[in-house]
Amino acid sequence: MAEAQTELLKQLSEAVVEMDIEEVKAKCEEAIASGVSAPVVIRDGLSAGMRQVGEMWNRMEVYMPEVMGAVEAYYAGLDLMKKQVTGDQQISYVGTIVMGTIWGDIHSVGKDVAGPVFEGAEFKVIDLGLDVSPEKYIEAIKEYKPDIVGLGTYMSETFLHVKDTVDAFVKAGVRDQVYIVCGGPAVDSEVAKKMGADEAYDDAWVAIAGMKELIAKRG
Amino acid sequence: MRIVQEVSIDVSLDQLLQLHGVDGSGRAVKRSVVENYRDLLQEGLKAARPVYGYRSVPVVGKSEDELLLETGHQLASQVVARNLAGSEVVYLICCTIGPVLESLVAGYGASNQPAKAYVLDSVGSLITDQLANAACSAVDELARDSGLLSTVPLSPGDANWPLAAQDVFYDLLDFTALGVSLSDTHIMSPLKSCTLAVGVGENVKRLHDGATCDFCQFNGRCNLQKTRDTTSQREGSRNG
Repeated sequence: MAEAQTELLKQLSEAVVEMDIEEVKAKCEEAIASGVSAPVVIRDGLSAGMRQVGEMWNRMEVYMPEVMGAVEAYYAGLDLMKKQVTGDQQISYVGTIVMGTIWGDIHSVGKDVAGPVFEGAEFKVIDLGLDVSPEKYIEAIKEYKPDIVGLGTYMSETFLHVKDTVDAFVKAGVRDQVYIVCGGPAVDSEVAKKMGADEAYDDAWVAIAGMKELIAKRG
Repeated sequence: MRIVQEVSIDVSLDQLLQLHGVDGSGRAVKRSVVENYRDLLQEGLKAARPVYGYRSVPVVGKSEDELLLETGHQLASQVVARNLAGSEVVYLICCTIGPVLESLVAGYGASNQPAKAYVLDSVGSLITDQLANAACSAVDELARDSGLLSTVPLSPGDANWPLAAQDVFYDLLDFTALGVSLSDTHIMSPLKSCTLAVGVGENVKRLHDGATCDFCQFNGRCNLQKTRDTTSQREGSRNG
């Protein structure tokens, strides 16, 4: 890649960190015009910016409002770039996550923010929506063959629905095909494991590190 | 059921930022981000239709595990029996801010603007919290006017009080009149709705001291608690 292109992508990632939507859009278009493919713009520009935001979050150098601003900027660029991805181009992913809000629960906002954070970390995200039944998860496991199934639970009572969902996976013979992680403010790792899941996270960036570890374990 | 629609809600930008961890003690947040928050706060305040309904129901019996109401309903939970002990009546309250804010949140989500959805959702949480506090204060005042004391408010979901207790509220309050529905799994819709039970009596054991956070699983790691501190400081400075 030419030095100018590398510099453009660096500026793009900085624009994400700076939450500058107009600059993000402009740099995306410049990068495409200069011959960088859309998947590379996403990976080395937009996602690189989100990764940096994640590192800053872990070092407590950014506030939540700034993370939100970066997510807006990231999505503005992603919208543009996804339209530019052609059939012969492939976006590389570190893994695929099928995620949704568990049955009985209709809270969506936490999941909707975690999704782009995971995408920014180069996960392919399949969002099944709200009040997702075990059957719907099972269909998605068969169709998308994900590495991870994310069960979003936003209340202590619906967290307990994890057990029913895992039991249904076992019965359908798909439990061993995926790692099951729980996400949301009410989750607890120990309880999640007792219910048959593999992990639980209440922070999207901690989840990213954990999910990468799980995928690496499988090899 | 009595319905109260005239509720003054005053959520500040500082409270919204504080809810997202900006407590003013560190560096300033970028101006454009703050402006975005300000716009969403205004949008949320305009969209919210705060309303609550309540009724009082005499308590006719109690055990370690439940309070028995005159209507035949039980508030079955140790935490309720313990903290509403001594109540002669229980006030059942249902609060909601209506469906409009939630539809705006959904709209932002659907148009790939999850950050705006998240912030607006938080505005809804703050408004709902203030509404619930206003409803509880009104019950406190009713109790005081009658020379009685009121207990700490409790909600289904608090401290192992099963969500299934929402059925009691649904039976005894007119959810339809408030525009609230209840799912089979006891989730209220609009999501920014809540129910509360407050005991009132001459010899209640656990007085309402504003410490509802004691019963919440997020106690100690919830920024909503800090925004309440901000509210009381602001009220204190107004009164002082």
